[in-house]
Amino acid sequence: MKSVIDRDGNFVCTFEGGNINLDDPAYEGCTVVDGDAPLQEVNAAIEEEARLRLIEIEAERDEEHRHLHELEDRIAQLEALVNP
Amino acid sequence: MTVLSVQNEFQSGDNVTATSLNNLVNQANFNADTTDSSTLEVHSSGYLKVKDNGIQAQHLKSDADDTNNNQRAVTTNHIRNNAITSAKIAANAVDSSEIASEAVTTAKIENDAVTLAKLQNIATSKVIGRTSAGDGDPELIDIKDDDAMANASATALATQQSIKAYVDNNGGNEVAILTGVINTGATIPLPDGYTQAQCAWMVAVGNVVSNHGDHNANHNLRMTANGDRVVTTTGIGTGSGSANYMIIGVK
Repeated sequence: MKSVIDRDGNFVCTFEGGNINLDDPAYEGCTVVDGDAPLQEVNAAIEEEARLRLIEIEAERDEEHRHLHELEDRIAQLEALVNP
Repeated sequence: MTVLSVQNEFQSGDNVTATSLNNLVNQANFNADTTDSSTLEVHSSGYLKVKDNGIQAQHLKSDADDTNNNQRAVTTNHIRNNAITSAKIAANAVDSSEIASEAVTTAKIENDAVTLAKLQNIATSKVIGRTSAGDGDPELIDIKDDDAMANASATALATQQSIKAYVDNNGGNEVAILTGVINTGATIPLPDGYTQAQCAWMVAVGNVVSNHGDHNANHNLRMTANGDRVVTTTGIGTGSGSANYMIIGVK
């Protein structure tokens, strides 16, 4: 397996089964490197992004739950005032 | 040496008559000393006989040239059936004239003993085979060096050179297949030596992280590659990801 990175070092793709056509204008300035290290870096970044997003979502849910509890407490207080 | 022993010997003054002579001869016996007791012996009944195992080779009639074809003492009548063993036949004594036609069977030929030189000569560009229907004798099959395969014979073979030439000139397509992982927004690579018009491609969802402001909403995740092979991902909000791709080139 080989990998393609663009002129800025960003991962473009991996390939196997043959060589690619580097004359393709879409690949201008790109470089072919052995192995899939660039892909592994991207995958690691995606997984880190997912992990952070999950923490963020869980925090949002905690905030929503806390807000719901506050609303339920207020409703209970109002009901107590209306029906002492 | 006394050959005969007689019953009554004539004495001096005896009258010799025909009767007395006949009696003398008829009553005489062979004397055992008259034989060598190795080739000849006196039988107990009084007659001479060849002694068992007494005849040696020198006692048989010899005729080196066999000019008369009837002078030699031993004929085939004197040899029992199946009596001659292989040890009695001198090396290289049997030639083809002593072997009957079609007498040599397969079992009489040693494995790997028949060399190519022992087969009949065959013409140039022929092999031994069979194309006629049914079992039968081997036949000569043509080997044709015909680059165009113009004859398309069903009973001839083609040379390696002509097969290659025909395939090179008329043969099948070349195919290239690339697989890999591609980043969203990138362009699927072309196999080396192929144009986009000679290729077909597809993508499938790879490693994706979805990031929406409203994570409870329904999202339609799609990863596609357009006509210019550019990979697009939708339904992941501000997330990112990669796709698995395959591109096939045929020319």
